[in-house]
Amino acid sequence: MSTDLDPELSASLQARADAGSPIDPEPLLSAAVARGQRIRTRRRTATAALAVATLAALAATTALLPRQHPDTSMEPAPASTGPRNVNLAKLPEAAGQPGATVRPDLVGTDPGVLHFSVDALAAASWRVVWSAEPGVEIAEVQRTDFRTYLAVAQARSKLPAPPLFFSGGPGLVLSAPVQTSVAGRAATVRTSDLYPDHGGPSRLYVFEWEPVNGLWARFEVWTSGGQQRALQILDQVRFDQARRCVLPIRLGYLPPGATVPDCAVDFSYGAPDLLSFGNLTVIDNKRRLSIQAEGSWPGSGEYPRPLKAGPYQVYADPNGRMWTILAKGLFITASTGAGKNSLTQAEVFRILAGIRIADQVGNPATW
Amino acid sequence: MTFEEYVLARGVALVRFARLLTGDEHQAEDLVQDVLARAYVRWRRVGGVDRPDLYVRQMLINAHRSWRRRLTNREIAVAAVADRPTGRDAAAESAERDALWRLIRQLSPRQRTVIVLRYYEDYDDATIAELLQCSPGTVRTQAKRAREKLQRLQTDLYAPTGDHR
Repeated sequence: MSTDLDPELSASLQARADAGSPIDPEPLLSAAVARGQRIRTRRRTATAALAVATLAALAATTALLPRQHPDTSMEPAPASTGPRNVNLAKLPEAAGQPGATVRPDLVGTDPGVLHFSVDALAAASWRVVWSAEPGVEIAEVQRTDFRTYLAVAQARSKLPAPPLFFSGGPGLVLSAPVQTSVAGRAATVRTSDLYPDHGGPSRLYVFEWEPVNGLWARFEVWTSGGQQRALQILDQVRFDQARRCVLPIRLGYLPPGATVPDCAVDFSYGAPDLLSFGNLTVIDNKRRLSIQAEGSWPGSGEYPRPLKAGPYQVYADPNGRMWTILAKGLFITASTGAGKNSLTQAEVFRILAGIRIADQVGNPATW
Repeated sequence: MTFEEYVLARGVALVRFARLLTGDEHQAEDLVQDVLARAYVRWRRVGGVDRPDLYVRQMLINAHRSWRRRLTNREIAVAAVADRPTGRDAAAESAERDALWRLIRQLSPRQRTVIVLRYYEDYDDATIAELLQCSPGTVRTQAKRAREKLQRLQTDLYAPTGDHR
């Protein structure tokens, strides 16, 4: 027996961890997503019950909210436990705002406006994410038959590095760019076959082109329908329209000099009402405060100390950097960075106290 | 990093880690699925922290602790399943590793977690302390006691049994 235990321990643990059946991350991902969707559904039910019990007026409002209607025309047939395509919420039109092809110089300049629309793709999907940050605007649409990811920017260098959707996936290799065209404009396309989709083998197509001078776009699509199908899907993106990037909350107070440079809204099947998630970031010099509005309870039993910030009861996480509000069926969480990048609790509470929640949290047109 | 990216990149490592926590292949996959499902629900927060992988591992450790408590309450015995020898264990060169693993299984759950984090994941004491929500001093104490116990068990295991001959 060796007297040096350390290498023996490492070797023994390594051998034990490696023993057993090979591990495939794809089924793990599918199962986790399916379970996660069920959790969200349960929380939606619990949240609705709480709202009915405590806020009769809100319950009456909730009854008037638009409901999601399954779209049975999508292929393949949805699995009973997996996500399915539904009629997800749409962001409101940005009245008076031009689309990206009309004013490419405005793209990426205002986190409150997205200078394109993917409504046609999102009409029957299980997840749509819109986001805007300095220099780039992004939309992601996930459906049971394909997935897409779009980024637009004024300069090619501002586009996030491809591939956007599975950028962290192990071993994803894109082909060399091949010349093609998109809507009559010169473009490149790259492909990858690494990840088969659930409904059969899919290929990733990454198109990059300049829809008009001064506007760059990258569009990724996973589809089993070939490049022609990929282009048909791309053709449903509208660059001549604009949408407002909005959340059911607004910040009524910002510290002097602070800015909100980004916006993200996530609608997904299984989310309570319509909103799955929304995020704003307050930047005060180099200090950051992320404010998230979720339609589902992000945890339970973790916030033992109710405090007050303006009209809201705030639950402080023991880590001292996260605060949660439950109001109007929304779970609003503020989290700040560590150390010198953090705001104080007093500063955070001033911001939280100024939050205004939309009257109809389930109706983006009113946000 | 999206949830999908994370699971595809780190899911295998999580299951391996869970195998060492639970000692059971099937429990490990179930535990990881359970934790990932909860991570999925709150991914915008999890994915936004400095080290999401560490955060998920902390969820895994906490979930395992909770599972263990529930299993204990329901008096479900699971430990024996993990110790059945495999073909790999039966090989002569791995016999000693297998024996050591059986000794590791005799450690208290907290000591075993410290040993796994230190000798399998190769985390430093500060990171282990963060994961276990205790002080680095406590980690060092737990590791020291675990090593002492393992050495004692090894001594017992390999001690001559002359009294019976």
